[in-house]
This record gives sequence, C-alpha cells and structure tokens, in this order.
Amino acid sequence: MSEILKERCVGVSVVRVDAADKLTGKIKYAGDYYNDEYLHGKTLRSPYPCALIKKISYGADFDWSAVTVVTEDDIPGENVLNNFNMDVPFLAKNGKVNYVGEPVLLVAAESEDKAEEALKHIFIDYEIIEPSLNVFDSLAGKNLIYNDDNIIKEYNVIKGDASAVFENYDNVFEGVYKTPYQEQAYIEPQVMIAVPSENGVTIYGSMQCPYYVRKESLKLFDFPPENIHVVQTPTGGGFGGKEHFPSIIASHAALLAIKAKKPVKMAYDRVEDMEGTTKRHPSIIRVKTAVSDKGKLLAVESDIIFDAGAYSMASPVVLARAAIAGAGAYNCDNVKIRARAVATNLIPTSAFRGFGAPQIFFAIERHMTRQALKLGLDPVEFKRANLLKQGDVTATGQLLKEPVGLEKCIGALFEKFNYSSLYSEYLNQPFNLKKRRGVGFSAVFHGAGFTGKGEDYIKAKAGVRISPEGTIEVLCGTTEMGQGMRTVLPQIVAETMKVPFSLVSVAETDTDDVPDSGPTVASRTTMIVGKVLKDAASDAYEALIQALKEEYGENDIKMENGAFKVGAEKTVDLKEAAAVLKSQNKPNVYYSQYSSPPGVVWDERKFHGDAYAGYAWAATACEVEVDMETYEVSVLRLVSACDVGKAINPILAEGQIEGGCIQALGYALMEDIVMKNGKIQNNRFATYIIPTAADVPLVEAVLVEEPYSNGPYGAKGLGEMPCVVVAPCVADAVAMAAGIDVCDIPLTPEKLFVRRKGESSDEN
Amino acid sequence: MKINLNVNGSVKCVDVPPQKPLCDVIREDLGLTGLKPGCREGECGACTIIMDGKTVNSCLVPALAAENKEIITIEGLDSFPESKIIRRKFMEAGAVQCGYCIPGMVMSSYALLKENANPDEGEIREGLSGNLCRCTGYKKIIQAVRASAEALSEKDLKDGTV
Repeated sequence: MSEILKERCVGVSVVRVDAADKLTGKIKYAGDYYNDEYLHGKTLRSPYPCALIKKISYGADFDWSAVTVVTEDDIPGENVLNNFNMDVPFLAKNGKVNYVGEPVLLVAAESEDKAEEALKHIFIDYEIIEPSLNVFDSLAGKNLIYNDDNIIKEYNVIKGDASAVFENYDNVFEGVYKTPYQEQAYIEPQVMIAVPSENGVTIYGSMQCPYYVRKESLKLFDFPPENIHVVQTPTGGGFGGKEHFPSIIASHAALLAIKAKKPVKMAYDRVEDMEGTTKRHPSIIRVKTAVSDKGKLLAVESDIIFDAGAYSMASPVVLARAAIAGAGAYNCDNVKIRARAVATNLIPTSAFRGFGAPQIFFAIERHMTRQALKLGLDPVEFKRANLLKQGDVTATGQLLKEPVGLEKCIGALFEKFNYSSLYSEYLNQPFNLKKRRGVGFSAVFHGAGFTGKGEDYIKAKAGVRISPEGTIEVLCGTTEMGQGMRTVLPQIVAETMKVPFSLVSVAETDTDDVPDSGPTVASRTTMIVGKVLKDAASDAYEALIQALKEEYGENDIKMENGAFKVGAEKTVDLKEAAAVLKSQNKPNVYYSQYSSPPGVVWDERKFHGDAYAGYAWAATACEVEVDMETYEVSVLRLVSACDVGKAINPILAEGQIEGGCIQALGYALMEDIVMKNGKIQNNRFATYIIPTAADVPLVEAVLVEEPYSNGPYGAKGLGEMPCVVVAPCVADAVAMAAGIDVCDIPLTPEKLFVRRKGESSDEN
Repeated sequence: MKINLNVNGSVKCVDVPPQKPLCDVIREDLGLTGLKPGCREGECGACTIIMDGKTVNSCLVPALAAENKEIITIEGLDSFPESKIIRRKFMEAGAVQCGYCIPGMVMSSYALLKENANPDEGEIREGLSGNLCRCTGYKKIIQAVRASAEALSEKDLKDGTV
C-alpha cells in the first residue's frame, strides 16, 4: 500500500508488473496456446544459395487431401514485403531462390508431424546458379543479386576535406576491422497463429511491431490493411529479430489459414529460427586517421561494407546508423564516410539491438586505441581529448545543442574503475606470465529514435483512457518484449496524472484498440512514446480538473493521495471523476502525437544535418585476463556508465545495461555464424554459443542522468547502447593482455592462437 | 501407450507414444505450459523440471522414462513455501525481463537451494549454468538466488511469514 500511495513514481524502481505471472509460469506466450482446431504450418526452404526452380512435384504415394499447400501462385496480391527496397518476397519469387533457407512453399496439416511428412513428399528440381558468397565477389559482379551492382544501399557523409588532410600529412594511420554475424538468440523462438476472419485475418504472435505486420503485408492480400487484425502475445525477447521477420511468418500463417479456412499455428523450433531468420550484419570497415603532433584528430575516413544477404530487409536503415557514426563519438573537422550494404547469396541481415552501431563503433574505437598507441599516447587521454562536447558539430553537421553526457559518464566510470593505475601496472607486466591482464576503454553515442526525419514520418500516436472504474489505461502500439515497457510507461503516466501507479496499466496490444505508436525499436519507446504519453496524460489530467471545476463550481482542485481534493472539504476519487466526465459528455480518451522539437533539420539526400534529435552517451571499461597457454579470455570486471537522461525505473534501466553488455560480450568473445557453401553450420545452442551464468562478469551498471529536453522527465533511449559500447573495450583489453594486435571479433582462443603466430589480422 | 505420470502430487494417465518428449506431454497432454521448449536439445534449460529430486531438461526425457517418477513443474512449486521466497527475491532484484527462461531459472534455483542452502556466487553460477538467459546478463538472477538463500536461512520460514 505504501508504494501505490507514493507521490512520485518516476525514478522509483517499482516491481515490474508482469514479474509475478512470469515467475509462476502463468503468463501465456503464443506457443502456449493449443487447440485441436489448429492446423500446423511448415515451410519448405531452399537448400541452395542460388538456383532456379524448374519443377515442383508432389509425391503420388502421399495423401494430400488433408494438407493445405501454398505456393507463390496462391498469393492474392503481390509477393512483396511492403517496406525497404520493395524487394523482399514472402515466397521465392519468379521461380528463383537467392539464399539457403529461403521459403519456397508452405504446407499446413493437422499435426506438426503430418506437415513435416508432407514436406518430405514434395520434390523440387533446381537448376543451380553459381552464387556470390561474400561481399567482394558481389562487388566484382560475380552474380547479380540486386540491381546491376549488388549495392542495396550506399551513403556518403562528407564534412570538411579529409582527402586533402591525408594528402598533406605524413602521419596517416589505416586499419581494417571485421565484425561477425550475430544471432539474436531470444529464448522464445518465433511463433505465429493466424485465424481467418470473415473479411481478413487475425494474427496472434510473438513480435515487436504489430503495426508492421499489417503494413508490411499490405500488398500481399486482396483486402484492406484494417482487415488484418494483429494481437501481440507476450514476447520472449526480440532484440530486433522480431522487428520485421514476424511479418513474414504471420503472412505465411495467414496465407495458409485463409486457404484452409482454419486457424494455423506456425511455430519455429530453434534450428529453423536460427537458420531461417535475420541476423546482425557482418562488416568489413577500413578506417584511416590523421592526428596532429599534439594529439588532435585532424581527419577520419571510414569505408564501411555490410553484408546485407540476399534481400534488403532493414539494411538501408541499419547502414544509416553506421554511416552517421562513421567518425565515432569524436569531434573532427574533416570526415569522409562511405557506407555500402552489399547483396550476397546469404541469409538476409537486418535489425539487431544497436542497429549498425556495434560494427562501426568496434572499428572506430579499436582504431583510435591503436592510433594512440602508434603515436605513443595513452589511449584514454587521446580519446578524451578528442571526444564530442556540447557545442561541437558532428560528422553530419549537427550542432550539439544539448549537454553531452560523455564526460559525466567517464567521470562516473573512473570513480568505480581505477583505469589509469591498472593500465600502468599491466603495461609493465612481464611477458612470460602464464596469465596476463589488460584493461580497455570505449566511448560511444546512440541516437535514440528513428534517424533523420523518421520520427516525423511515423508521428507516433499514443493515449490514455480513463475507465469507468477509475483506472487509467495506456493506449500504445509499442510492445513489451522484456525491456519493461508495461511498467515504465505507466510510471510516466502515473507521475504526470499524479495518480497511484497501481491504477495505471497498458491496454492489450491489439491493433483494433491501440493506435500506431510506431515500432518497438531504436530505443524509442521510453523517449518518444513516453513523451507522447506524458503529453496525453497532461491533457487527460487537465480535462479531469476542468470537469470537476465545472461540476462543483470550485477552482481549488488538486490531486492528493490518489484522489482529487475539491476545495477544502470534498474528496473525489478517480472513479467518481470518470463519472463526472461522462455525465458532461466529455471524452474519456486523450491522444497525443509526436512532433520533433523545433529546429531539427535533416537533408536525407545529402545525409546532412540533425541525424537524431537527442543522443545518449556511454563509456565503458573492463579488465580481462588471458591465459597465455590456452588463450582463453576471462572478463574480470566490466563497468558501463550510461547517460540515460533520466532513469524512469532504475532497476529496469540497470537490467538493460547488464543484459546488453553481456549480449555484447558474446559478440566480442564467442558468437559467430559458421557458413559452408552458404549454409549455416551452427544452427543450435549446442554449437552457437552464447554467454551462460558460469562465464560472465557481474556487469556494474552506472546510471548517469544528463536530461534530454524533449524526453519524458528527461529520459533518453537506453536499450541498445550497452550493446554498442562493449566489444571494442574488450578487444582493447585482450590486445593489451595478450600482446596481440586484434582487429576482428569474436576473440576466440583459436583466433588469438593463430594471431599469436604472427598472422596478420589485416588480410583482405 | 498408456503411461502413468505423477506430476505435482497427482497421478495422471496419458495415452501418448512412449518416445514423446516429456516436455510436450506435460504441455500438450497435461496443459501445464509453464515450462518452455526453447531448444529441444537440452541446451537452454527453459523446460527444466524436477524429477525424483533432480533437475532435468524435460525435452530430453521420453515420456516412458518418466513413468512413476515424482515430477514437479513450475506450477507445482507453489506448494513449497521456499518457492514464494525465491519468487519474491527475483521480483525485488529485477531478475525478470522477457520471462521465457524464468520458469526454468526458478526450478534450477529451487533445486540448488534444496541441495545447498548457502551457495556462494560460484556455486550459484554453476547451478544456473544450464539455463540460458539472453536478457538479463545473469547478474540480477544470481543476486536473487543469493538473496533467497539468505532469506531462507533467516526466520522467514519459521515465522510463517512467507
């Protein structure tokens, strides 16, 4: 009771609202729904990276009467995902497959076994085409996959004249950095249930973006988008992997359900999920810098190549983030960035927490450390001297008007982590130690919300509804996927309306009931949707006050202890206030819509201007130990200071940092996809290794609060940033400890062992 | 094949193929969906149950092998007062995010604390190493288990304040 009567709600670590049901197993995820009526959908996938489908035949010895089959011919509209470069098919298009695992056709039957059995009785004759299995072959035109150059997207960012600096300067340093695929590895595999309706279909499933399911399948069907009714079920992690891909699975299930006239459940198992769904882009990034004798960064050039796989998916927008951060978090007058997403005959890559930033910040941060060492400078001092400050201008020409939280982060970080003394100590450790140690440091920014004009196009809408029972419902189309939205957004609304937290909850995420608040991505939910809700909650609060003024002819009305105090004597609770609103025929729902803060200017064509309305900042340090015989790396300490603007719920914010850091630690040390002839070899948790409780440090999260003027209570986006900042920091520490100049991750013992023998990491 | 399963203290007879994975039998045939099929190969631990006092990945147990064994699922844990403390500590620590691994985590935590009432950090890590979590980075889960051990060793249980 004490908690719900607290005056303040923002900045308080209220217990997340879904914790109890998750801890008892009562909460139902999509896969937990069983129904004898359900058919079970399965996907027939391409075994080849590039081939023409010559003939599809169905075994005569199999009973097809109880099996529904959907091929490209069954698609009522267009076979294209309505987004990105308009090139992503739902099923192999025009008889051609472009990657191993590409969906070719769909079946549904009364049981999963029966559907699997049916797949075994479908035979496809393929004519194999020589594939392009790496970005360099694609750039050389080995196999044309996208347009006439295999370039799915290219951005160029120019500031000053970097080329002129390099020409006139002797001290130019260049490096090539590589990052691997990363699998989202949410623990709940993707599941969709499609139920045909009278004039369309209802989708239930695990997803980040219900309105994307509707928008992206827009051209597929012959009914209007509002006939695609989408309900998000509790979602067991997303990390970007459930941003767009659920639209494809939902559409597959819907095609089957509409044809069979029965509900269809499509549940991927782990192997299908790992082999069939999008991952983080592998990258190859060449960085060139020039630095003055006094240690000032004079010029940066980055050539960024992302492997996009066979179709665009979110590559254009993922690449945009990398291009914008092409000079890292540094202040530099001369910047030249070229970023390309290149098509290959490999699994499409798309959204993953951090969204292009982990790749570029690994390259830049690692390069800046190597650059400092090359000049005999202390890496941290060199970086600090060149980091962006308030009033500086970024690579895209954005004047940083808001305070830059970086120095605050670094200050807070080094209060906890005695970097300089450890650095000196380990610099002087004998080389022949059996175990050697090292420390690393990195600093990054993250633009929260969509890039450039993105948020202006989305115009996020969200609202609050005052129920007759006197409770407040948050109406938003963003989703809970574990990050805590269903707790944090009500905290913002409760604070704004001055009502007890227990009276506020988020309405079911159902497109029939909640507005389109934009997707649950880009660390935008708290910062963007939270702001919209704060405005809506203010309006609702004012409306209630106004109604009570009229009702009681009393001007002195305020909220006290969860009820309205009307004048000196009378108390009106929220239920009575809702009734007053109703009796006056006033609305009980108050919406608001996002608009960018004034003065935000972005030129998409020139890729110039205010790339993000607000930035979050982070600095991280770690200490590692490397066993010089086995080359195993132990991370002894990892401290991450993140400027979150305002921690609406500190424990949840810490949880984002701790979890994001460990996901990034997997990226830095162990996670990679092994491909053979375009086929993923490690398609399960036994072979795709992610961190366990046995092998991670206890991340020390430090919350730094440098408020953002347009965020709710100053809050900035947080979720992705921890995933951006860790890998270069760990690589620095490993390089120092092992005495190996690493330029690519993951830093597996095998790789370190090879590098130790002197093989260059700059090949290719 | 008819198989008698003793789940959460009551014996149910199910008619399933003898090799059907126990996780599917419990979820589909008994309707207890708390345990999760995260990988179906014993790697993720989301389907952890307790069978004859030991944690097992129910995806690796054929239905027949579970006949007449004493099985506890997350739903059955309610009847043990310790589980309430574990849950409370998970809540207080902020150890829950997406929740998909959580039933398995709670089962493993319960089993660990039954076997070792006072585990140190290393023992907790070891005890949870078979349960993958992709959200939390494990820190708050490890802290929740440690806090549970402390609470259980104190007076809470004896006082009946659980």
